[in-house]
Amino acid sequence: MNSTAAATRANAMRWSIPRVLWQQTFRELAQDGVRGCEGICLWLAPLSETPAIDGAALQFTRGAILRGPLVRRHALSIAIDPELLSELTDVLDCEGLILAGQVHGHPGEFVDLSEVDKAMGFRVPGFLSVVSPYYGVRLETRLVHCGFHEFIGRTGYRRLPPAEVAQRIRVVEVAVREPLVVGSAT
Amino acid sequence: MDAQVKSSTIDVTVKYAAGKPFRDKAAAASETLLSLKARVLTHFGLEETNTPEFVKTYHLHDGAGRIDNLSQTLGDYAAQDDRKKDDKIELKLVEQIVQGRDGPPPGADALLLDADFEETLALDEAARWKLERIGWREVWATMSPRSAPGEKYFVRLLWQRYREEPPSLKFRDADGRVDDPRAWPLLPGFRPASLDACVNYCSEGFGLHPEWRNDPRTRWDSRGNSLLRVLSILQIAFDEQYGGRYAG
Repeated sequence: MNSTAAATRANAMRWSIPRVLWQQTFRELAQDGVRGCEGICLWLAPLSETPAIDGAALQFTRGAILRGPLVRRHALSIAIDPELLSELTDVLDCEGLILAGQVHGHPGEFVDLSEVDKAMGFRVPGFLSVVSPYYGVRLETRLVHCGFHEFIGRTGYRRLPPAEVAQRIRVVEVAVREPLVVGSAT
Repeated sequence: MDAQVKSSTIDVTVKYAAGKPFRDKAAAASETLLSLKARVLTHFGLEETNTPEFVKTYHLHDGAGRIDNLSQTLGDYAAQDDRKKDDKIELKLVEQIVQGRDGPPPGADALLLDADFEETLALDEAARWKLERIGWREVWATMSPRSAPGEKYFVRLLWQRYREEPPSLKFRDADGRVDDPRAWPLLPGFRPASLDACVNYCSEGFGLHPEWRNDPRTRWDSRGNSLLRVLSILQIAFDEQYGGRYAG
């Protein structure tokens, strides 16, 4: 079964994104974007949610933002050191959350995943990777402007075509706490 | 007997940021950390890769940081001070993440192009160009001659070492391919059929004329904003010497 057929099965993964989380995400991306750097915002879900390809409906419930010298932001890349991810793991464990998606910004209009994105990103089955154009500086950025990519085990990342984005991703009106901050500012 | 059997197993938990924890309440004390790591990767649906382009690896961490010696057994690991609590081991699976249009900057020259790109964007003359940063040492520009503003040419500039050397100059077609001569304009020194330009502001030109390197009239000037200089020279050629599009 090819990846397209697999994704259009009735039990394909579906995601809900709180509107407030979307807005928080672009406020975070814009902070780096206005400096001409890529930014990133992590999306979290309750530990009881399992990003599996068995018809799960996953709702992101909170964001996480990264600070400190262990996250390096440049014009064309952003790198997160293992030590910072180790700290993130501890924070998520305390909060009862798991990392289920992320958004990062690219310059210009390129919202596909680069070869670096595919090879060096989170490669967990069911993970949702979102790319924003223009470094995410445009706060009016909507779903239709971004690239949505799901990780399918063994196959790798697959970009969702617009029809699937409309079918499998929705924005919901629920309250969301301020993002977790991981890493030190100094 | 029961005590001996009990001491030969260890309760192991491995946490990962993007998945539910791995738990084995009765892992064999004789199992190595390397073997445990393999089972953990399988549990989370992860695979390590090692190619000429990319190396993606995962590491086991404990409270003290990365565990380097994976040949040690769980029993040996747990026997060390502060490694085991209540007959349980808790570890973390950790990786490095790199995201972006390109990887980390390959060198200081790439950061120089970064700065020159931003400087160029801010100039009035850049309003005629659509500039895109494709990679650390690659820039795409869409340019048109003044006499034919509807004719768009997709320039690809690619450096081996920015400023120090001239860029490779190619023209892309609408599909992004650089092997179509019809993507090229007819400008002095340009050889569309050969997909190169015999000019002293691109690497192909210096490849055709090595003697240019030492001639003060033609050698490459590595000072200043090289990106802007090449784009400006190209635009002047477009505006003053454009002979149409190569038709093959």
